[in-house]
Amino acid sequence: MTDLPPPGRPREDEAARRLHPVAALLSMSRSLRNFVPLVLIAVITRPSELSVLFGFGAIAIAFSLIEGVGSWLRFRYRVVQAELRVEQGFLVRRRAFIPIDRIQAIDVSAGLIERLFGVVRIEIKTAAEGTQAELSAVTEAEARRLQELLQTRRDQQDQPTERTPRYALTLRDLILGASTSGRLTIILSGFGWLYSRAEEVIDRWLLERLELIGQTPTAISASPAWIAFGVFLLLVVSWLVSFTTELVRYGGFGVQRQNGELRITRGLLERRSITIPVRHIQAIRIVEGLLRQPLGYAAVLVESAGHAEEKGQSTHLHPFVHKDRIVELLSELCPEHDLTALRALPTNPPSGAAPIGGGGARVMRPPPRALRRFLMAPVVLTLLATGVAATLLPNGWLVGALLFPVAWIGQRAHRETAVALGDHLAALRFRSLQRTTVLLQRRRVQSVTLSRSLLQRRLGLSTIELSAASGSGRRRFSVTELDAADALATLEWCAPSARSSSPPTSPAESPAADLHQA
Amino acid sequence: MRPAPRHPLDPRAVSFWRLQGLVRTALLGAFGALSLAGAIVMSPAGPLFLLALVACVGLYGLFALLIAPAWRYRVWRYDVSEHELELQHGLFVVSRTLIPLVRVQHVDTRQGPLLKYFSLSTVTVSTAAGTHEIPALSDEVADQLRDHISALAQRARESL
Repeated sequence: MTDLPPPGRPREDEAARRLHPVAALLSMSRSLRNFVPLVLIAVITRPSELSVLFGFGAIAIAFSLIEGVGSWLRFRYRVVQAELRVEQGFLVRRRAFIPIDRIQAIDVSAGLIERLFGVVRIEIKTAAEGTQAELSAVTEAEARRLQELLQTRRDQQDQPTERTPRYALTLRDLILGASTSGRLTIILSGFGWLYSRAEEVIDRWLLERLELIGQTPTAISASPAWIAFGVFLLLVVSWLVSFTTELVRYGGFGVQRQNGELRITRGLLERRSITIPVRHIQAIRIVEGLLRQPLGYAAVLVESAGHAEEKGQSTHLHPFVHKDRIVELLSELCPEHDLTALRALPTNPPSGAAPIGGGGARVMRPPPRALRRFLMAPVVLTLLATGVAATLLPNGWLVGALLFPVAWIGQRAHRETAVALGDHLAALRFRSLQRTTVLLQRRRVQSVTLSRSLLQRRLGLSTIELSAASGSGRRRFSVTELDAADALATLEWCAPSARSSSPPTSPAESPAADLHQA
Repeated sequence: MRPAPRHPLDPRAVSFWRLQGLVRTALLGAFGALSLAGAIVMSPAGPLFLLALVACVGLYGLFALLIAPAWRYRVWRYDVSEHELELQHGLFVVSRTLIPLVRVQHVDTRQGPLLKYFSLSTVTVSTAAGTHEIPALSDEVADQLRDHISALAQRARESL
């Protein structure tokens, strides 16, 4: 490593630095990974010739070694005046000069290899999509120095340091959260498919054995006990997998606000840190999964422009938090969001109650006549599925039992769906399987669409859909089966012209002079 | 209550959609004929397939040429005010979209070969969350509208 800078304030210019030598190892392992498919093909097409495998392996290792060491040698970075300059590339040389005041986030993470050597990876992000520069391995001390160097320069024009307490996940919450994660259903379906494959194999295997003993071969796997056992096994294995992934992903979770940025750290094996400037938050989602809602817990996610944790994904602001603490959490971390509307949402509304206007927000819910719209589609679909299953499978009519949970969810959806309009922020609540509450600031609404099908028109109902920007392009949040007048009021709430004219209750008409003459 | 948007599209939109419907029906027919040729070779029930194909393409053509264009034209409305753009369109599901002009990133006009034949243009309005279209306006109106929206959006952004 190069010499450390003199203590005190960082110098204006500094000598070019290299990454920690582990960077060579990391880049080597990365390029080795690219050879895996090639080697696999070699093994599959020529399984008998070991020499081919060894040959390929040797070439892959040699190439990766050269590339790894070469790219490490070529990689230089330094902070010059108000820029971070990165020079890199083994075969193709690239230079990136990133103005410090353009840097929006410095994310620090560490995978297993990195942690073994006590180094971290730094990703520098600007407003442009994706990572602008990546320092794949620097010592932790160097990371702190860089963060401070790049941070202080930015802070000069910013407000003085502010910092909130760090919200961490307790061990109890981590375990509870991991055991109730929604990941279960996804993994379950994956294993369900595997199981249906495996079933045939087991069946054939058992039949062969039975024939050997001289018993009458019948389809063992079709017996009820066998099916029940299979389903049970499936559940247990899926749950274990989902439990472990969640545990590894969210172990050591913590979130803290500092200088207008949210710092999220997480990960048991691979430590990740994600930085999201609060002013980039486009929408907040509170998701109460089927398993979590009875416990009173939810996950809080943020949509941000260009700062998705992974492309096309929302970032967890908090993976598992009690619903009573959400208001506190949000008002501490993002006080820019006026939570009147969220508070006004009824916690457990009685069915068919009149709209309640609480705390300065207007709350709207689907009218009682909308209930059938919530029930119709899922019930008809279930009946169709039952019909198909009954004709194809011996006990297919059992699928009809799904009717009960399906109707229950439809009825819950009708009861829970709501829109609350505050002065600056709308809270939308709807349910598919899980219950979702979206918080969207009026100034973040990119467009709003009111739609009405022929059936809805007859019942005087409408669907309202609000679009927000997000890392993956756009997010649309729609609330279905509101009274047509309520939906129109929501549309109007989003209109800037309604804001400039005084009360939100009076219909705002734009002056004719402003209209475009076509 | 807020009034519905007022301005209709250019009346030539109906002819444009008809032509578009004709092209689509022809494509559908061609594709169907190809797969039918395959089916006749493969199976003895060829005539039945032919009947089904003619019925499907016929129904689609009927809808795309005779019913949809005038219907679509009747529903389509747009309106621009100082602060927002409003669109209304749809056949079975009528939707009404409001776009705050502050959120508009850029405005373009576009013209495909079919639109060009009718001297019509489409105005597209992009926000950070997707693109909205006002199809089939006469070229002059489209150009005017594009500049108008763009100027209003500029002003709305500046007044922030």
